Amino acid sequence: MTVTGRVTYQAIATGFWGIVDEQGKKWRMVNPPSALCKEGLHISAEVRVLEEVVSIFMWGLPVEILSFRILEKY
Amino acid sequence: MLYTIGFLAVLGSALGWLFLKTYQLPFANWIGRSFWISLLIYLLGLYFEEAALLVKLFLMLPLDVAVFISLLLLFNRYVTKSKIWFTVVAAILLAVKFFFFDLASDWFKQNLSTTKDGNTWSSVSLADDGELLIDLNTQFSQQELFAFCKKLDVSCRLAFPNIARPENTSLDEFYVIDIPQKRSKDWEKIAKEFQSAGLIDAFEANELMQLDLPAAAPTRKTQPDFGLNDPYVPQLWGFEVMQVQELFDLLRNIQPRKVATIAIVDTGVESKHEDLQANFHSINADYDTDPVGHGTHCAGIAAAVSNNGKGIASFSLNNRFVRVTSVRVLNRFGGGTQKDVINGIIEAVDKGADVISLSLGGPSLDSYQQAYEEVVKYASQKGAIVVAAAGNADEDAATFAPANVKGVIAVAAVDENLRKASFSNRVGSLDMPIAAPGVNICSTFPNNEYRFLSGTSMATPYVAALLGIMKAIRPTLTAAQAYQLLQQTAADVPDAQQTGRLIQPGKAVAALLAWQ
Repeated sequence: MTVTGRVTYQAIATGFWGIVDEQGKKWRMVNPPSALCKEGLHISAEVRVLEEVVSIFMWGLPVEILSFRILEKY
Repeated sequence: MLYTIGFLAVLGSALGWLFLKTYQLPFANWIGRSFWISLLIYLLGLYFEEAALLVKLFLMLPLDVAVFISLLLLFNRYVTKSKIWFTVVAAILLAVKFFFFDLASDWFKQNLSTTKDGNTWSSVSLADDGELLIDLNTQFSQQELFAFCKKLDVSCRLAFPNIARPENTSLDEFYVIDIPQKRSKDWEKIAKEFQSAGLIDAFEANELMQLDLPAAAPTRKTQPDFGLNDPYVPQLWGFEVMQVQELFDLLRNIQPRKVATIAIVDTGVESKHEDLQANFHSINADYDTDPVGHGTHCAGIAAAVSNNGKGIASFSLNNRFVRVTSVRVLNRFGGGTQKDVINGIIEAVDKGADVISLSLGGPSLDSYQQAYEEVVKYASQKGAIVVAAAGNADEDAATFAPANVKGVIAVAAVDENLRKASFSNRVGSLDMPIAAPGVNICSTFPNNEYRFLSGTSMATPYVAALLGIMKAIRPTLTAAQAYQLLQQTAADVPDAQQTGRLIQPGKAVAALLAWQ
């Protein structure tokens, strides 16, 4: 599936990178590529939602990034 | 600028007066009076000039007086004798004053003075650890700062993490930037990148500089050590707001009926940690390591060894009341399945846990909601109380499991201002909501380390710790009874509608004792 939104870093628990999509839904990246680790980056990513929905982060749905496209630089 | 104009005006008015008076020309008296106005402008300019007071008094002022008197004496000769001689010497003296001296003065300002916004700290010697102190622009969040740090490949931490009442000062806006050794020479460039992004109000090199505290900032109340010798106790801001002294006073005079077991169902717990080992009870050696650190952090909050001269302390003054154990259900990325969590709860209950502490969760899925309810019932039947984190998405915890499961005590996080932590889910719509500190919580971390973490994960083991003590005193206490005592004795906080009330351990235990 495709997620389009902005990248955000959350200093919760041990910290993680996520995406807040255009509908405000939260997606937690379990394998964030370094190119996506920029606050506010506007991206579109092909993701796979993981079965491991329980986590210590308790923020959004965990997704694996399969491919991505940067729509707008920070 | 005012200083330069003042000096030239003083000089001009004095020379003009001398010239006009010597040749008996009109306006001599008028020019003479203007000297005093010029002198006032000069003194004001000198006062407001950016330089240390000693530099002004013993360098700038004497040199200005010397130049002034020399020129006046020379001009006196000019009026009557050689004009060329005066012109040459006057030019040299003024050049010395305005070029050589002012350059020297600038050098003094840049290298010897302390300023807040300085961008020219070329000669400072930086600390190896935490090269820069920055003052975060309040329009930006901590998360945005951390994200920017990640972008610059530097690390960042709170400069003063033990501030118990940040509303009294702006020190909580200060962060320390650690620059990798190989890039330490680029610290000035890195600091300017923060400034260019508008993220910071000011930066300082972290050694020679002193923080420029707001003049009106009141003296901070020192966080008490509660009579404990653990070095990080003064960093545990939550202890004061939960009034743990009341709890400690009670526990010294109580004989518990059992040692209650708190199960940290999480990423594992490093059982050999110096501040956990004496309070740790292993049920499976495979669970006694922690590749993530999250479970170890939670275990420290729940049951760190108190008064051992190491690290932090917990609600338990000694190991007569509670011990902590580990059930690993999450992987090395901190994730897992609801099925794993349910199995973990069952295992903890079967191994005799009295309190199940779940600093984890995920979206509520219909397929597992019934199973969650069943396992909580199972725990209850076996005498265990289940406590779970509300979640960190700033959403309604009603859609978040296991916090939303019937029979579970759901814990929201409050910050040091006792407001809802910005990330904390809202628990107001749940059956058994309660609040505990969950921002900048210091606790144990693998490799005998201690770290500050934030999350409802951190608030949950505080409640688990209290429930453990209550179970030790009254082993038959049910979740509903325990919650009733927590709720009755808790303190009101500004966002209690969203977070529930803040636990007050001493009052809860006192109520339990009165109830027996």
